[in-house]
Amino acid sequence: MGLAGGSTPLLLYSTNTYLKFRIQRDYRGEHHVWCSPAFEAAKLGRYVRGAATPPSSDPASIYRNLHRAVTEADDHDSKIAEQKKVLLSLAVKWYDDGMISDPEREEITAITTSARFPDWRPLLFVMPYHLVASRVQSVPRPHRASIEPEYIVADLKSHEFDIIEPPI
Amino acid sequence: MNLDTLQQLDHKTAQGVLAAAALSTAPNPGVAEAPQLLQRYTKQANDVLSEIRLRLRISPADDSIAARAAIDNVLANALQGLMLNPANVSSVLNRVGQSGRLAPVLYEVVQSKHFSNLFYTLGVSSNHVEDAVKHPDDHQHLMTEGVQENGKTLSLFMKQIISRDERNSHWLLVQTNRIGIQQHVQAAWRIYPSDVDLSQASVPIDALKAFVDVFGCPISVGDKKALFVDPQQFPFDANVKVEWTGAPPEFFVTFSQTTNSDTRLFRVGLAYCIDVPKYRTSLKKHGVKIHEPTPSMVSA
Repeated sequence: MGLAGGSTPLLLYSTNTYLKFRIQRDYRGEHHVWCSPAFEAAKLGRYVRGAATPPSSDPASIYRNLHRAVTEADDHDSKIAEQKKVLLSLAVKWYDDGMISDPEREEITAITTSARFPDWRPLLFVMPYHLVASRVQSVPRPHRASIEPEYIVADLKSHEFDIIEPPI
Repeated sequence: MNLDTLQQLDHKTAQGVLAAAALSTAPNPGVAEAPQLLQRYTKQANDVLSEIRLRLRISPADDSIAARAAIDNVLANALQGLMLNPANVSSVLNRVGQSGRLAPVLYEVVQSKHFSNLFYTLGVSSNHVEDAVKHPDDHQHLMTEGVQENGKTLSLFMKQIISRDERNSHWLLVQTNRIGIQQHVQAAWRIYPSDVDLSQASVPIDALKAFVDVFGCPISVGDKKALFVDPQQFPFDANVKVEWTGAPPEFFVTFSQTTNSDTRLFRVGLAYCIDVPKYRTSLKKHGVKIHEPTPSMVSA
């Protein structure tokens, strides 16, 4: 556990859809998040940790892309399609793992399939690093989009992060 | 798309295989063991993905965003079809709505004549109310525990209304009874931070209490008397009186009652009484167009 190499960041950032946030909050009581020590790679100095994070892993880029898809009501947005698929499959997985009941699995399915664009809007989670330090897992290099660090917090509690919706 | 690779499988296995296919194509952080489903159905999941690619005419080497999105759509639709009988969607959504887990935008907003007779004269319109419920800046579902499926439960929605004159910027607080996927509107109050101290409010119920502190009259539920009475539980057969005898001639009273036959308890609470003339005077001060006073009314 803990971060591999380098000094520890003050904050971690993660962009998630509002729907994923609600489903994890209501049915799991905790959040599984993929996060980065940098919010916006493009705004960082060249040698700062996180500066080379590609858009696919950059919280600001993910936020902007989802925001655009929701604002333009883009039915073909790849991130929304992926999120819908993932939430439905997680409902099956959680049920299979005994974490939720059959009626709850049904409810998650109904919520996900009846979701409208505002439900897919992005939220930015901001986590003070010290609150999650003992549970942060580094994503191994083959699973990252670049050499920049990426992390997983598998059981983020509601008091361990703030949610912001920066205007675009 | 009916997938041939799922035809021979029972319903539950087919769900598991589809979920495994979906998980295997989702971003994988590689920090934990592969999900049980994936371990169990690796081969079947690969067969499903191969069939989808074949039928969409996407080559095995094509990992473009467009290709992935097309595959994701097929997987999501197939999962949806297997996981939820279309005939059950309505009843499941009712259950989700009752529990307060439905997205605000999906609730149906019901504004009765009883409600509109008073509140449309107090500076709110049907559109304001509908917008506040469906697109709130904040909302809170109350009494979500232990309420039976058809029980009335409460929700509060808050929408910030910005005015060019900062003194007239306010929050519209809409109080509703939640019944399945319907939100039956009971009250809609304009809360001006210049009149009501919202500095300690962090959730909508705090804002409502602060509002009642300024515009409320004492109300009693059983032997508890206050400006705002929080929900309390009583035995099924208790004779609980709700009284607001000190209220002015024109007032608005609300209190909720829910019963639970399993626990043989009923809950009365979220009770308050508003001095309507005092509230009306405050609205006029903020330049709100007010209609003539209406007769007293009671809402429960």
